[in-house]
Amino acid sequence: MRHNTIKIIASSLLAFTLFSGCNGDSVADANNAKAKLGKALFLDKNLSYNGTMACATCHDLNHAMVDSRTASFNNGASTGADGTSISNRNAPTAAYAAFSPDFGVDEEGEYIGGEFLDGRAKDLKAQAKQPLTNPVEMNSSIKGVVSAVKADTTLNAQMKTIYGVEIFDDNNRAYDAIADSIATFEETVEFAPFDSKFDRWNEGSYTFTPQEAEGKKLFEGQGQGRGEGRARCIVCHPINEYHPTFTDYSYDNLGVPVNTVLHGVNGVTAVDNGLGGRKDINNGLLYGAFKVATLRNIAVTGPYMHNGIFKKLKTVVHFYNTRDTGGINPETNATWGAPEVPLTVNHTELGNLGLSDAQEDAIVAFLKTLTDKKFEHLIP
Amino acid sequence: MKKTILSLSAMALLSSTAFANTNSEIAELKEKLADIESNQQVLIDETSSLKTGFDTVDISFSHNGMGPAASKVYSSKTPLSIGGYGDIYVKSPDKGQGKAKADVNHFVAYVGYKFSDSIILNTELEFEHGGSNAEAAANGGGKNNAAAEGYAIAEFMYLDFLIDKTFNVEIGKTLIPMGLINLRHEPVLFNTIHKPLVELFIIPSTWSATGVNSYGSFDDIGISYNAGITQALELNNADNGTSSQIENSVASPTGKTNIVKVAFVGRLDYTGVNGLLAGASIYYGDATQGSVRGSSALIYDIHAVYQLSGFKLKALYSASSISNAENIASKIDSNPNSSMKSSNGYYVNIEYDVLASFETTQKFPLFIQYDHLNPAATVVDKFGVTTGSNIGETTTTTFGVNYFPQEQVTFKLDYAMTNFATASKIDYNTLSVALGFLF
Repeated sequence: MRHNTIKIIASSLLAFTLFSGCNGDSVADANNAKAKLGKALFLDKNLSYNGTMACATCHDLNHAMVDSRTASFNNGASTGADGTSISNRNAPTAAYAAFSPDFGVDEEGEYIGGEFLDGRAKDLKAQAKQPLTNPVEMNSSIKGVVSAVKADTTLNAQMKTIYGVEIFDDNNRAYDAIADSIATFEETVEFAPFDSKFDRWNEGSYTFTPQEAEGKKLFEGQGQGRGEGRARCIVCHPINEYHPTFTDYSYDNLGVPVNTVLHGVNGVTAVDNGLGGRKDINNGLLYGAFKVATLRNIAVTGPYMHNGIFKKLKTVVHFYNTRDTGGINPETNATWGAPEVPLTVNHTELGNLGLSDAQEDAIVAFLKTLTDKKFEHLIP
Repeated sequence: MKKTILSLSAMALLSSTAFANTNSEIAELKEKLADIESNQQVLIDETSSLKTGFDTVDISFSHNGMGPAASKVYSSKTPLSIGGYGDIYVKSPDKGQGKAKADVNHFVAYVGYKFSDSIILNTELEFEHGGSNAEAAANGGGKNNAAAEGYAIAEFMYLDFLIDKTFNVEIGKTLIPMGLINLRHEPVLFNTIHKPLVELFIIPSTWSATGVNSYGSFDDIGISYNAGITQALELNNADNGTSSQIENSVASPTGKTNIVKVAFVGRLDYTGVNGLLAGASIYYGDATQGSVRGSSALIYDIHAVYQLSGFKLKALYSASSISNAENIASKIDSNPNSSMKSSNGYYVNIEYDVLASFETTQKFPLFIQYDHLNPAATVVDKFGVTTGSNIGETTTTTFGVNYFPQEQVTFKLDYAMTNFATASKIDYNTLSVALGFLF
């Protein structure tokens, strides 16, 4: 009997020992190798058709992953590799983009997630493929991108090490690997350090100034009802979690006017119907709806809105506050223009917030606390 | 029949008395008569039990650390044993935590059968949250689904081969012998309405899995043990965030579950001092099932219970550590990929039964519990970058009262104050009432 006991316990201990298993450094190493390659690709202008534009051109690693070029800021959208083409939408920040859920439908049947302002890319990898071949952006081709990578001795070697020596035998497979590496790089902590003043406050090492604290209260919602001094930004920009990204990844029509400056330079005249205008969605009820943006680094990622119409953060807050009450755009000293897509505008949650000028300032002060430490010097 | 036996016994005694000639003989005969009466009462009790086919539960009985209802088959006088427990609660949280909810939290039947004195079947059939229905099932209801409306499961089902006091073997789906609640989860055995967070998120009570478990006790030195091999956790299958990763990694209670990888589970308890239970338990083995390799989990706890008169003190500390958690992070379904690497937590519970000094079977314990949980003290991303974290770090202070009109039935009232380490998460309080029973 005692021998049996010993056998069982011995077997258990043997199994116990075996489970310590091999270490998993290779998995992290492989991911780091991909991220390293991805960064090199992200910064490589040779991936554009004429060697003038990289991913980082519109997603500047030193400027909160947005386009820091003056012309792009002034127009509201990025200039392409050819130097003349101008996109019709404002390039969103790539920071914290990895946290967007894959494009899909939530429990309430609403579209959420995905990448790009209309969610047309399911995830980061799918997103990374598009600008490379977009005629108004990097304007290359699958073959052109793969050839450029293949021609670079260092990138060539890295690609073969990570994805196999035969990776360049198939252009589509190689292109997929390139996008995979770029997406992996965008998942690194460089894109999501979570070290803003807000994060420090959340962990107990920073105290908001009275104005920032007031802004946070307004952001979360104060007052009794519509037009009575409440902002309720958290409805679309939730905050009640450990590392909030300040977006619920839903889609909404904010009633943003046409950016006539942008249309003036890119020649576009068609209405931008956003999510609802996608061929695979084609839903009039969703016309004019764009993905709710992260507010991380919002103070340093202007211009604002899907078409870059507003240059200052305070203007955005004032727009939400007075859009439906005949407010004046402080950047033009004219009334807010008519919504580009008027029928589906969200009048329930914004447009008449009843905030005072000081309250708008407080919200802006709070929003500035969402800036990553390394970008705080960019706050205007 | 019993009357005949009694009459014959009395006649025999009387005839003996006729020849007795000393007082000592008379005293001896009286003693024999008392023994006969005592034995008769035992016969009456056992016959009554056989007629009804039902044993009442012995609230003080525990087999291999389990609660009295779960242990019932081991003391049953009949081959078939039926026991059970249940609890219903109503909870009302404040500060935007939702509306007051009523929940038929558990109704459980223990069905046991003695094939022989050494081979025993023991099962726990559980209906949780009111049971299951087709609509909930169609919507993906289940224990590990946030949208679960209820479910019915075999919480445990095992054959126990009783070999020796010091060595027995359970084979099948058994309770994992860790912590204080997991083996003794009947509602009359803990005073709070809701289980301590530590025994939900680090020791994922009620945790059961398929495997082989040996156990025994050495009464002369007050030591009991468990040692076994069990189905490993599946941390790579948890997609509900790092703070609930262990809780959601237990093999699904329904359907066919992965058992490609296994783990060692052990427990040692000391009960050599009157009123004291002190011990520790450990899980060590694979952290994953399926294609994720090279990641192991260590979960352990140290625990103690001490009772003196009406006082009872319970304390438990538990922690986990996941090696090569970046392997899990690389595969887990979240954006971006990250995985829990370590967790820790503890609780202390003190109760005093104000009726302890009265001659009554009723109990009225007052209690307070301090429960601190950091379910993801460190997290790691797919690149192997480990960061400290207080995601999900929670402290809950609960005070309340139980009333036991009878030792198998309890009414509970408690007030739980929940505080988060993360400033942006809103602290809240919950008032709850409940009833519970076992049989």
